[in-house]
Amino acid sequence: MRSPKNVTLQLSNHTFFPLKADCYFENDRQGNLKMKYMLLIYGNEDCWTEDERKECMLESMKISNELQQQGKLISSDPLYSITTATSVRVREGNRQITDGPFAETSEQLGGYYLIDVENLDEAIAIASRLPPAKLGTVEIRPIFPKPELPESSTEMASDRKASV
Amino acid sequence: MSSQMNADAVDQIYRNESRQVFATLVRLLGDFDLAEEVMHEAFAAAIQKWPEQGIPANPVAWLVSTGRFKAVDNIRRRRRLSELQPELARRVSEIEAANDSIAEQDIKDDRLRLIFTCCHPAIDPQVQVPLTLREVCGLTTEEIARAFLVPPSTLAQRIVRGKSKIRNAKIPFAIPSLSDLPERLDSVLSVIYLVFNEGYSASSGESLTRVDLSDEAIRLARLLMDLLPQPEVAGLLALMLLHESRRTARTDSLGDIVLLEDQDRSLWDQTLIGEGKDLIERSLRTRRIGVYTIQAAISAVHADARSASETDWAQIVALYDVLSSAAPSPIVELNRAVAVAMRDGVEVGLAIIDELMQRGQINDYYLAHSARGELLRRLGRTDEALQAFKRALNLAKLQPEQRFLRKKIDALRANS
Repeated sequence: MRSPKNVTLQLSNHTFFPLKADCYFENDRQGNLKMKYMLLIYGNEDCWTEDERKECMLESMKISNELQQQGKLISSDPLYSITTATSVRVREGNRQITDGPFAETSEQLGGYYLIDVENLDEAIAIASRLPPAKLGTVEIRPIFPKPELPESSTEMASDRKASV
Repeated sequence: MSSQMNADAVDQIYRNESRQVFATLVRLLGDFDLAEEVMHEAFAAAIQKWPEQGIPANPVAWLVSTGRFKAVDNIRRRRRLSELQPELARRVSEIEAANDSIAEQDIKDDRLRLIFTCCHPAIDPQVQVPLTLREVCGLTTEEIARAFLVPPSTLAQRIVRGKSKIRNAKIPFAIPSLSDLPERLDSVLSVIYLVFNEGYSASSGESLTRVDLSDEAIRLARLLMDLLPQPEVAGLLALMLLHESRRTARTDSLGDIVLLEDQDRSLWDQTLIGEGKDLIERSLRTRRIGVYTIQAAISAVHADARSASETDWAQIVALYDVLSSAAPSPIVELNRAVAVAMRDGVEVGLAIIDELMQRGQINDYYLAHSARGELLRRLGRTDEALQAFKRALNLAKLQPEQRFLRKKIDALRANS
């Protein structure tokens, strides 16, 4: 069931070129072609008071609305605490399901923003406005453009989509 | 024109302008590797065409324009035009059409854009330094590897990593906005200072190649000063010129360290000192001074004194106070303590160092123990001085530093 990925691909306004020179060139010079970045919000879940959490949420929603109006936000959501996390691994065909996050660290993934902006500087400017940046860390990851699928697999993808 | 004359002319233009041509091509093409490739193709074309046509009135514009056509050819070669997406075909024709309209200021700013891109804080500092030397200064990977005593393959990897970070994370090729400028400029200045220090605090064995690094840093700072004459750019350039002015005096014929107070001041390069002092004055007049300007001013006070004893230590302590409040650091406090010892007496300075040691922040710093040893020696507390120099020796990493400390230890033993 990987169809959602292919749907994203079709919705994407990226024109992806396999040659890296062409790719960069196109992105950089074409004003309306933007870059997608995932902003991953890391922080220590325990260092927030209930009031702080609420205030953070309100401030974050305000920023989200603003980005939405500017056409820069694709989606954003907070996540439930890591106590609700479930990890799945498949090793040699065997599925292992465990309680808890992938790695025990002092800062946990608490939410994300998927944005569509001009370049890294704009992503940095947005990341530094987010309230959790003051207590935790915002990691900015550029979204890897998916390669163009050959005709046949695109058809298969739309078939799968149709079947969903 | 004879072909020899022409080859010399192209050679000279290559030396002076190739990085400029490269920077503009990076902006136009958005790709470091493609820009490098077509820049060389443009120079190859110049060697062929200039003997017939004469050197163009604006060689940089000619080279950029030729490079641009080469890039278009290059893109077409990779992909036949019939296969091109309409968007890309449109871009190719845009590149061709925009050829003759490059303003001089744009070209100049391209070099600045390139500096800011290579020194972007999102790039690992270990990568910023070689990337800047490669792309902005045009040093070869082998030259940089030799200067930093790193295997060329390691260095090449770092440069590739930097270029792919720029491409994949889409670090913009742009001069930062005014609000980001102080932060972004800091990052550029620290790259330049790192390059300088690598060349300045080198051991004798590699001195030849490493002197080149200090020269390169000074050249880079001069370029930056020309493009963006901010007070701290002037401050950093001044600081490097003042350090550089003492290069021949700071080591003896055996490559051993000669302390500031023991240096033959007639060896100091007065031209560099004069230029450094002019830059400091220029920076101070703006009243927006930062850490580089303050450090340069300290260096200038030393440069003004005909001997160590004639140094205006009160002024130096005052400048360290300013530096301490601008950028608090135990190392600045250590330097201040030494200046206080010279102004108010050895005991006063020693008490400050002992207090710093008690706070535990400079205990692994060899110069702290070395300075303490020297003050103890001056007080005649020989045994304690010996202990301090021994600890310094254990912590010192470079051979000339170790030789210097061994000499101190031997001299103390001979006296006691």
